[in-house]
Amino acid sequence: MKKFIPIILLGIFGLWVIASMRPPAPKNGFDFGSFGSIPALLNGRIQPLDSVARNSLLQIRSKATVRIPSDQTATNSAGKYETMLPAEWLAEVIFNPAKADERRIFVIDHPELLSLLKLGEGKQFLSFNQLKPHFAEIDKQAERAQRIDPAQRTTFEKQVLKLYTGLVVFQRLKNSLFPEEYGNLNAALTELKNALKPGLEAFRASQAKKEFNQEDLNKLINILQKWDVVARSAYPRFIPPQENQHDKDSWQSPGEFLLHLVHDQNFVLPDAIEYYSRMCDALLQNKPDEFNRAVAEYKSYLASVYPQELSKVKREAFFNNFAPFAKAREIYIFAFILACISLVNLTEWLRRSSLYLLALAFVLHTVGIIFRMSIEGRPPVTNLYSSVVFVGWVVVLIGLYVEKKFPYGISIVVASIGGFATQIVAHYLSLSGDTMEVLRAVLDTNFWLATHVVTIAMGYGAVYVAGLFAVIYIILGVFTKRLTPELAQLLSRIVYGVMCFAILFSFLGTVLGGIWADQSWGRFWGWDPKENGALIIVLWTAIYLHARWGKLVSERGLMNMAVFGNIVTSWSWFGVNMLGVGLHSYGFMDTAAFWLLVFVASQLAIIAIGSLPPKYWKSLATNQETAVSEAGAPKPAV
Amino acid sequence: MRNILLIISGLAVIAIGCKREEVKVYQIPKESAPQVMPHQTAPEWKVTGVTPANWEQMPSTGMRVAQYIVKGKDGSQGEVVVMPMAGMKASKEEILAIWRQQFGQNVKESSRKVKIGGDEGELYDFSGNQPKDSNIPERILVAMLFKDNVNWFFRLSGNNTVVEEAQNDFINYLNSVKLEQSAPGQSSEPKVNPHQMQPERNTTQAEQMPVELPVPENWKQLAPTPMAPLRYEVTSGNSTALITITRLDGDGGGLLPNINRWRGQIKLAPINQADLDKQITKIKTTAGEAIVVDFSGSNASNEPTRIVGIILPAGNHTWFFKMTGQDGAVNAHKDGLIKFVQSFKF
Amino acid sequence: MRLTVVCLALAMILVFIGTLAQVDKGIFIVQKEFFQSFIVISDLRVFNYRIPVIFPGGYLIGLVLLLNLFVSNVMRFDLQPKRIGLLITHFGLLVLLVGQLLIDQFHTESNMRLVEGQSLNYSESYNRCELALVKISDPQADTVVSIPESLLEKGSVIRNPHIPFQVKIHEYFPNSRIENVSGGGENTASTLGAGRQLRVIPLPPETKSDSRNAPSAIVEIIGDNAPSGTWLVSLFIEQPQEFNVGNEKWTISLRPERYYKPYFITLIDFKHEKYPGTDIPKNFSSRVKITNPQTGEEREVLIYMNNPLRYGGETYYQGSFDPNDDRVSILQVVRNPAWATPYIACILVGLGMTIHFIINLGIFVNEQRKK
Repeated sequence: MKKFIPIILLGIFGLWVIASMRPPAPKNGFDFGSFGSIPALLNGRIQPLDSVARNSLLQIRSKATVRIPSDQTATNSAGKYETMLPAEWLAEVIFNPAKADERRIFVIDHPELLSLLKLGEGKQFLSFNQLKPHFAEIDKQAERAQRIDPAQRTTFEKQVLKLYTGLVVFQRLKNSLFPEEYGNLNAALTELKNALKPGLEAFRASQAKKEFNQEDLNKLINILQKWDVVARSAYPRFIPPQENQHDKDSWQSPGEFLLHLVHDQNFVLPDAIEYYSRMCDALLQNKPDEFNRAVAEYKSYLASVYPQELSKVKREAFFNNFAPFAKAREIYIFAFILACISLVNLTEWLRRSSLYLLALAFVLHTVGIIFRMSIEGRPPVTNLYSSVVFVGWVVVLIGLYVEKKFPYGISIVVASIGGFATQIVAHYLSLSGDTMEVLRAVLDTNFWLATHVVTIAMGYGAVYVAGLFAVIYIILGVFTKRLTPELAQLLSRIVYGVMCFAILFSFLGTVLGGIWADQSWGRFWGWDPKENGALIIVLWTAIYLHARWGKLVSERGLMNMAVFGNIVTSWSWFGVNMLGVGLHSYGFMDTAAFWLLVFVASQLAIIAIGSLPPKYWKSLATNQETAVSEAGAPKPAV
Repeated sequence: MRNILLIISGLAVIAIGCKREEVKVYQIPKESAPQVMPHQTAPEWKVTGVTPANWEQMPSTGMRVAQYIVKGKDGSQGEVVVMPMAGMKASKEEILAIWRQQFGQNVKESSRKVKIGGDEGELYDFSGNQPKDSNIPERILVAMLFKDNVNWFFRLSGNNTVVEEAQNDFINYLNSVKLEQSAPGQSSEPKVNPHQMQPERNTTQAEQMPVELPVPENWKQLAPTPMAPLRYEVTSGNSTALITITRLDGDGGGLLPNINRWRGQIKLAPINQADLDKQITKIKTTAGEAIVVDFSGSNASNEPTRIVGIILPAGNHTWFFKMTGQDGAVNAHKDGLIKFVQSFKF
Repeated sequence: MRLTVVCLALAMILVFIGTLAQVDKGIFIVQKEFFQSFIVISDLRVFNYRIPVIFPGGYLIGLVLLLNLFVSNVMRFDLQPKRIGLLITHFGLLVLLVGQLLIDQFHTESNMRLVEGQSLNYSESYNRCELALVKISDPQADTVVSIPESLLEKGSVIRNPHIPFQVKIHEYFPNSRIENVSGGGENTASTLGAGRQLRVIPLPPETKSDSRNAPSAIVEIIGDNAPSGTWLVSLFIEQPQEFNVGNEKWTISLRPERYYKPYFITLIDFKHEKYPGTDIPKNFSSRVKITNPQTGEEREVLIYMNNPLRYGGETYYQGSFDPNDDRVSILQVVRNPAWATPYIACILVGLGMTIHFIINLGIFVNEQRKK
């Protein structure tokens, strides 16, 4: 019976995964899932409206979800909550701005900010309308904060700026399709159409110095000024280009298009505006069928004229909804728990269960990476977020391989820790913005991204794997009796083997980085902090290997050194970004600094435990035949 | 063997450590006049002509190489100004259009040929009905001559009476005018980069435009250009804006034309005085009342661009403080600019 | 082996401290003080404290490692087949270290700042300055006498067979600011030239990596026919100052060190693209024309990110641009005769490591199989 548990568990989780591949169900009849996969241009890349919604939400409330209190009058966090899909929320913002103004989506919980705005205590949820009376104050504080160097800002100043930016994004979203004061797209278009002819006539007459109707002219200018705001401040650009259809840069906002048309005087509405206008009306009049029909027809229009863009955004919308990384994270945690229990319990079915779950999570992890690569058209690592995801993948990969060779369950513990820890860090990083952002010019080269960056990431992963095995060695050895001489020797060899792998890839990756730099700006080595960090990893792994070969350090000492490798790699990967100097500074964090220090402290604690004399090691005290010398661990005192 | 190695490494250490640099001597082809000189000094001009007794010559300042005050019989005053503009981007038509606009919709305009020095130029006559307290003169006569790559402008302005009286004198002046240029580079005072210089405290040179002002710390001064002697860059996060401070004589051409010129730069349609009045804010400064305008448009590359402009008439001059750039930076520095102007002493 | 570990450990500490020191001092200074020296005598700023640092410098550690490598690998010929991978690897490292030393000594980086339409036949150094004396009275060509900034010390006199006078340095300020002094008087910088209306304010040296020091100096031309008096030269005084010595006309100026080339580079067009609706740079490119009077060459070429121009032994990269002026392109010019050494070294090391790894993996797997 117990034999079947692994398969059953796999089946349960597998079904859960497959179930989540379904598109989101319609809400009140409106198919927002389909709406979410309509393309638009934002921040230099074409993305589905679902991503537009999520990225905007991240800026507005640091979360890509909308779960807000329903009570429109209060501001505190009490009462019932309602949930909106990101695409649902976006639809409301762009089509029904007046209603969107009432949604309490802004979150404020910094105590100084709360007291400045004279709100109560505790986390507060506010709507745009509720914040209106405070705009002047927020404006003033934000302006002051903006002039301060980002590295010197206090958390209050950062929060104020965040609130300000969120308000700006929200305002821009509302005015992306039409000037929000009109309430709906049709009304705006109608007024423009009616004023256009008399206004243009008046303008022409005034140019020719004849009599003209000032009022008509003023009216047109007035309307055009409102559309000018749309042209300039539209956050996503909705309208696909009529010519140069596959040129991303030619996507426009309705404002731009309309202003051009006024000059051109061939006033034919682009097809997209028709469809959006129908969607807008349908949403306002609560007619889900018409909404869905408009969405479907727009998408078939897009399929005929812009098939690549449409299929790419569909993939991305699916990916957003499926969220393979989030799922992998949960499954890694399960696998970890099961693997730990299996180490204590030593039952095969537990080990197998954890192994199957680990494999499932790994498959999801891989699928996620492949999706991202196909959506972006890039190698797997393009920014800090994707580097974290990829290193996690490498750790799990190596762990799976080692488990296959030595099926004791220890590797599953290592792999699953690597898996969920990196996913948690990645999730945190994803909150700061679009993880698929476009690459700046200097990084825009797929070849080097695929070689240098991937190789370095594999090196990082290998060092962490070695370090994790060393941690397990120390914990098993000091706190349990499980570290038999055979197991100790095996672990020692695993760590050695992985460290060899690590030095190879770290060195190769560092060198490839140097060659890239030489090709790009003529300098192979510039002593840049990130380059130095990579060099330090190579040096440390080299020290480990030479210490081992020269028999300068005992087995326990070598394990301590491997754990230290975790610290070295974390410094090189995250620590250098916090210095903010040189060519490599494209990751900006500060709570991250705190967690980095916590991690470093934890590793140092383990090293301290590992340095305890053998008599404190439970395993060594009972297992008399150990060939461990008392050499201790010579470590540079950094 | 070890000893040999040590000796070699010792020599290497000495070779690396004790390198002393040497004087290098080499030849280069003759340097022709450098192609682009951002700090090029304009050649010095001397303009002379026959003037009647009631034209009082004023010291020439900035772009005005000759200036006169015309004393009218009824006590009112007119002005004659001579300005050369080398390498100006605006064409003659554009400049005329600006002047036309100054006079609003009811401009009366006529033109004819006139002899300027030994060459032939064109004389334009603009007049219109201006409200009593407007800065724009009632009538101007403008003579234009394009000679040796320089656009010359000779302008007589004032109310109808003064200009009518002075018309003949003006034409006599034009006929007799001599344009002399002192050769560039003859002065042995090389141009010094004014980046870090203090403003001249010498009071007898009050007419000189200062090269440095006590601006807020986060304004980064940039190299001057012929059209804008004082330029500063301000930033806010990733967005930047440029602040220029210029001082023009008299009313600097008038409020509305300058504003419409700015609007044109960011692709905004021109406005009339009435609309302008609705859009301006007035602020009090230590030097008097100043006018603030704030427009948003887009620049030549269609990027959103905003202009905040402050115009401060003071004494014989008008100061123009203009901040152009991206919204973030302009927004962040607007208050600073206003405060600066409010406490501005010149 | 112990020595190797000690050296590697010292190297690791040095690199770490150097990385921390950069925050405060900038990469250029740290490179000189920490990595390109034999002894580091410097300081590190931690929060608000300055901790003095005395440590073996990069060259010293490198030299010891090099000797150690040489002695242990070449001298004691341990040619077991098992160790062939390691041998190749260590040899590669040797090449890498020596190569880095060569590069340090012979590599020059400079930049060329061009406005659209401008032609230049020289590039300028980022950090180094020179006192340039140019004889312009010869109708055939100008003679440049370039005195490196390192020779400018207070009180020193510079003599050279190519100049009919001597240059005495009265004062030298490594970093400074120039002020206008109205009305002349006692405290003007010099008695001749631009300095008659100026005053020098010495400043502490710049530490930020993207700002350069602005040196100034007060010099005197000493010779039979030389004008008597002192001159102020400074990075701020861009126009060279003229003086006559006998019937020769000379100019003097303090300027960024120039590297003249026998050809001209003209910037025809500079494009700076951003992603639409953002400020993120997408692409920079400069279309330039090479005009070489010696070879008669005249051709256009496009330089853009990750795609440099290699010409005349130098490489021109699309370096940067002027945020205030869209028509300006700044090209980075690199001369690096020892460029090939890192490539060779890395191929050797990579090869050696891979061979060693495969050999060892094979042994490992075999042993496990036997169990």
